[in-house]
Amino acid sequence: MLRFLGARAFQAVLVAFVVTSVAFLAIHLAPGDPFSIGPGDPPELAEAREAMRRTYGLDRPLWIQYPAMVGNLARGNFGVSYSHARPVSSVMASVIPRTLLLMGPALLIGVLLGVAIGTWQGVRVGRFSDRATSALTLALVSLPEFLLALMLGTVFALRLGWFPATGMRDARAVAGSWLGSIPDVAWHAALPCATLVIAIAAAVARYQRAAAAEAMAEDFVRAARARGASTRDIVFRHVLRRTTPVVLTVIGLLLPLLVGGAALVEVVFNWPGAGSALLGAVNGRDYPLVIGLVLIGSVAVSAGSALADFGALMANPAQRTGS
Amino acid sequence: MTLRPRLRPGRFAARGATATLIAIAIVAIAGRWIAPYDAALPGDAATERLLPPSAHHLLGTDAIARDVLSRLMAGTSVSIGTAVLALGIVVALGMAWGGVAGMAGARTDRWMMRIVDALLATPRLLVLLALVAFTGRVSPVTLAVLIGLTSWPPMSRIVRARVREIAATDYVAAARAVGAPPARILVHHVLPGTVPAVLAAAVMALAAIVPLEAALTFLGVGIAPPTPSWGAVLHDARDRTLDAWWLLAFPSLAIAATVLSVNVLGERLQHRASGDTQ
Repeated sequence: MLRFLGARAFQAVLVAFVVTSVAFLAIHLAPGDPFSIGPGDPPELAEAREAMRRTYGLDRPLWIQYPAMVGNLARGNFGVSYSHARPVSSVMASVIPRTLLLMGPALLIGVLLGVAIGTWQGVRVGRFSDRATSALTLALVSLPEFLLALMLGTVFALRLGWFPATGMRDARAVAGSWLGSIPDVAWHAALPCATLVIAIAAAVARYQRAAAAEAMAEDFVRAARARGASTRDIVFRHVLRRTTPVVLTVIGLLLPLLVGGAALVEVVFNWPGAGSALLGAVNGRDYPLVIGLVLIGSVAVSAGSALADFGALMANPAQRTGS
Repeated sequence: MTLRPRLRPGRFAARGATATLIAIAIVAIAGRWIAPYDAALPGDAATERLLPPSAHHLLGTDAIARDVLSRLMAGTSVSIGTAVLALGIVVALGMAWGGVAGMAGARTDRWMMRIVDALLATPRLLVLLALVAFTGRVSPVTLAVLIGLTSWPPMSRIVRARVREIAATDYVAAARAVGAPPARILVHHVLPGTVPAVLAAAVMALAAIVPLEAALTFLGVGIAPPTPSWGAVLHDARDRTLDAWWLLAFPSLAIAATVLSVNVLGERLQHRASGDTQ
């Protein structure tokens, strides 16, 4: 147990170190900087540009900048965002909760839906209903999230007008109480959330189907049948218990992909979360914000994967008693 | 318990997938010559802007009157070429890292795999976005290199697992006994045995790589215009998906068909590589 936690904490630190170092290298190997617009820089602004570089420390040599950055990041100091002109931590504090608002419910609903569909398929493996729905989940898994988002947005927001196409709040809404804005935000979150739910559910269903089908062929299921247990009983008492570690492991593996997919979905629906902020920072060469967001995203994914794997370990009785 | 979905696609699906991929490969190689129009040349701005699909423009035209079918055909070679080059880098790095880790002692192996685990837990798209942010808009080759450099860890795990199995066989022991150096054993006796598993993993990796190019170019941070690619056509479709549905539908169809075919074939190959016979 301690070994597991230690290894995962070490891994998270390694991820953080690699990500920041790669980003730092890329920043300084690439031509140009945030205060230059390229070869056509107006010469009369040269002095102002130099002043900005001095303000943000970009004029110092790399062997001073790099340890300074690592030291600052290690102390939780992410620096000041160039484009927002306020601390990166304060920008992140406003955008990350909005991302969690999408991802949290999407993950919960998507996993439950995926397990339900996968189990249903696994119990009737090989029948027509299984084959048809399995083909559907394979097709959905093959459709990148951002395309799904574009399609759902085009059909349900632009053509049918059932949901808003972009943003998080209605611009015409009177600034009211925090509580009063919940229906409006939920309304705006519906499509991006649905996109993620479909993507997650399809992926989870495919693994759950395989695991459930495998469990259904086990001796303990035959024994339960011999005792006269109904299929429903067998599924809830035996099969789901057997497949839980698989689902948790799959969630751990999906998380890194999901974070990237969610960032794209945010951009498509103009949801003002961390993904949109990252793209804005990328386009504006806002180095501290890019590094901060990628760093937090990577560490969060590491922690999430570790949590999922830990759950998988705990949910597997053989592993729990064996070690 | 395996973590792989065990749906073995039927023979019919596999044939359809093979046919689709062959068609895409042909367009990728010959697309520029068999395209009906010049992909880069805008048509008449007054009369040929944003035309829906018709007999003249089978897949319609875009906002500056270029033929969408021609752009998609020319874009196929860019998108598929980028993906294949990235895949080559993934295979090379994965075989090198996985091969060395598999042959090395327990301590080195553990460290090398810890690094792989850490990289696997890193959201690839975020890292790619950061890299592309700093390099600015890129050429297809640069993008392929960046995608390759961030996509090899899963491959290295698969190679390492196979290398460990093969390294324990008698013929490798025999090679050691006659004094062959480890590097020679790895290249001549061990790595050839990993090829079926690498092939299956490469096909699966392709399913992840093709959408990456499209996503980055769609966001406007991938391959620089005016180079046509599937992602570039999608980028042009942004904000006009309602009045010009063909700009969204056809590149999406190309991407989805490619990924779906690759997934179908990949699962078949994986069953074969893991020794399942029907």
